[in-house]
Amino acid sequence: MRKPWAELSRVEEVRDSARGWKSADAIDAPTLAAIETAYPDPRVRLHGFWRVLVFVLVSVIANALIWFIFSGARNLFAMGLVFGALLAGATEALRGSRYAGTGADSATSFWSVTYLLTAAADLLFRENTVGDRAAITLMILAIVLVGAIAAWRWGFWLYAACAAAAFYALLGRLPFGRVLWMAAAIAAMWLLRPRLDSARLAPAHRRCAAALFAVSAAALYAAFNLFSVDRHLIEMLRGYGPEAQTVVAPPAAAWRLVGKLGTLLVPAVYLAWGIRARRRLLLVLGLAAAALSAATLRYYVHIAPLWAVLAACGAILMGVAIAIQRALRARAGEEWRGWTAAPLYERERGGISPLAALAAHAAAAAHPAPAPERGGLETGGGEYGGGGATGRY
Amino acid sequence: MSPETVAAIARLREDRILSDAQAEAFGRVARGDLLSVRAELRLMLYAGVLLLTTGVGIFLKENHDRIGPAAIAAAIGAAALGCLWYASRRLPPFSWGSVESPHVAADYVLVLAMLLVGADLAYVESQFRVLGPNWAYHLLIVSVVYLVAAYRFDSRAVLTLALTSFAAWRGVAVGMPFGSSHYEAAAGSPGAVRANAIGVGLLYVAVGVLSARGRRKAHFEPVWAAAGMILVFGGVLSGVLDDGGAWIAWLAALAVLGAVALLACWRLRRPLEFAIATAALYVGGFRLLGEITHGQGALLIVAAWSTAALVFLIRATRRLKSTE
Repeated sequence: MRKPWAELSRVEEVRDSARGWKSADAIDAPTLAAIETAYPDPRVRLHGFWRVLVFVLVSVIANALIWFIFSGARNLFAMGLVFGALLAGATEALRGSRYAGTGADSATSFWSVTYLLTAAADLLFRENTVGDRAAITLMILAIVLVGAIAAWRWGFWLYAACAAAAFYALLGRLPFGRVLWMAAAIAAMWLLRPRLDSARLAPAHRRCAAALFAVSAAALYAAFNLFSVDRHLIEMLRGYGPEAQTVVAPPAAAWRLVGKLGTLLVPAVYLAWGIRARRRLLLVLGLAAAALSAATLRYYVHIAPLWAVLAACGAILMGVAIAIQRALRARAGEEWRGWTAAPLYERERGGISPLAALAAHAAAAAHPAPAPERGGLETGGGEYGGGGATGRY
Repeated sequence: MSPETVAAIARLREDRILSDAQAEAFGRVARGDLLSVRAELRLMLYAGVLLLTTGVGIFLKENHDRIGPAAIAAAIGAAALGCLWYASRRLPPFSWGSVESPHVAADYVLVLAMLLVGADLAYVESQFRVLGPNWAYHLLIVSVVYLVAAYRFDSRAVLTLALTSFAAWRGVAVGMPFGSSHYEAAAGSPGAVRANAIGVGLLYVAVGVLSARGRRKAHFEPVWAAAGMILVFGGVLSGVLDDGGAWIAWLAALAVLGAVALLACWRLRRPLEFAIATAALYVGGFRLLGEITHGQGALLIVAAWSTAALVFLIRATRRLKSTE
């Protein structure tokens, strides 16, 4: 990442914090204006929905132009390379312009990466330059390299996450893949932890580091999870994807014990680490891992019907959240060991988001079997919906 | 932790832009010495609502034969009332203004209560046929219940549910056959569905404007306006993209509506609604370009039209100064 881009990324961090202070009414408008003058950012700043629109528009423009110019071309490998290079150049130009962060640079970078990987796939699979097995490995390696370079150069965390996921897929193709996953994930988390707050890294690169950390934590949990051990999910990465039962023997008793302990302990470790170190990322990872462990438990132990388990888990989650909020509010200064339930200086819309409510509405749709018709009524039910909500009768 | 913000706070304190007290408070958060768990609590509450409502949905599906519809309906109703009681005890009293909820969980419990009410009413109607051939009216009842709750408890989320249910009642969302003689004429007719969408959309926009002007839950106006604009432009766009010969009339209507919406949003500094109108005009424009060129040089036309839309958006942003 070029130095000016990194500097602007730092400025953006300060301005975002200042807007948070203003939205919490902790500073007034003149103070915000003074801060924005002290930390000027010449870039165009767009509303979130506009960024999505710009992403779509730039994607359409780039692809339409490219396919128009190269409409007669037949060589997919060469086309992919040329398109990818052109769009990488466009991304370079946009990242250094005042239109960085508008969605335009995200779109060109995305299509650049996509076309470069298309070229690699064409070379490896259609041209049959190597065997299928090696081609898959090389393709995964290409994803690692392209994703890592894109993340390092442009600072988009999504590419870092993809590169990390591909890296673990690559490790899974080696002998002792599960052990390698464990070792690599622990090493990566240990190395990345101090870099999550490093002032030497630009905020965009810190977000990339956080993405790598999160993928590593997920990989560690996946390596320990009992379901993953029993189903040989990591070992399956070595083959082309045949059913695990036909190619892999049942796991050793020791591995199953490791799986049982890991399923139980890894979420607990993440949660404890997150609470102790005041790391929001670890807390979220711990919650997600705990949810997966609960699902694993339900898979092996049928303690109740599915509806009862879901409803009980939902009630427990809500109860725990309410209890945590109460406990924190009851403390002096409404905080405990640096944790609080108060919103602080984050920009927060009141209550649950309308879109989230619509998603919940969709999940809530009941599907009871209709009662038998009576009295010759013609009503047979139907469907309704709108804005993401659906229902049946 | 944000090292940039920590350094900036020190500089702003030296420059006397921030007071000592402000710098101390902001610095604590920027250094990571104080961290809010509010977002995580909300995530847990939301996941809880999702799991509970999904569980109830499966329960309704699997147990209505074994337990009996009356018992199930009573149980779900009791759960809904319990949630409503909990939320009403914790949420502030009614006000025509915006009311800050002091209890983060109460909002989620209210949404859960409303979802349970909706599921229960749907179940009762599907099992007992209370409304007979006019069963679709239960959606209207649900939307009215949601609307009352949204205004009483000042919930934008519940208002969204109310508007969606009302639109569903009109058969707007999917154009489904209502299955009763009363609605059979409209069933499956794109024209009727389109008219419903536009009518309901205009109604929503009008209510939004009245809310803002009358200062009666003026903060609900964006929800009314956005839902209304999506319905109106969706309805008009379906006419533009229709195979019939009236597309040119619909395109003219789109142009007029789009221009009015852009002007209004421009004057009112409304980036979201401005973007909705721009997107509708952008999509509608393809029909006109396609008809004029008969598909000749389609890729170039797509690129040129998209570039025009992009330039328009960026220029409008600069004028609107639409910072988040």
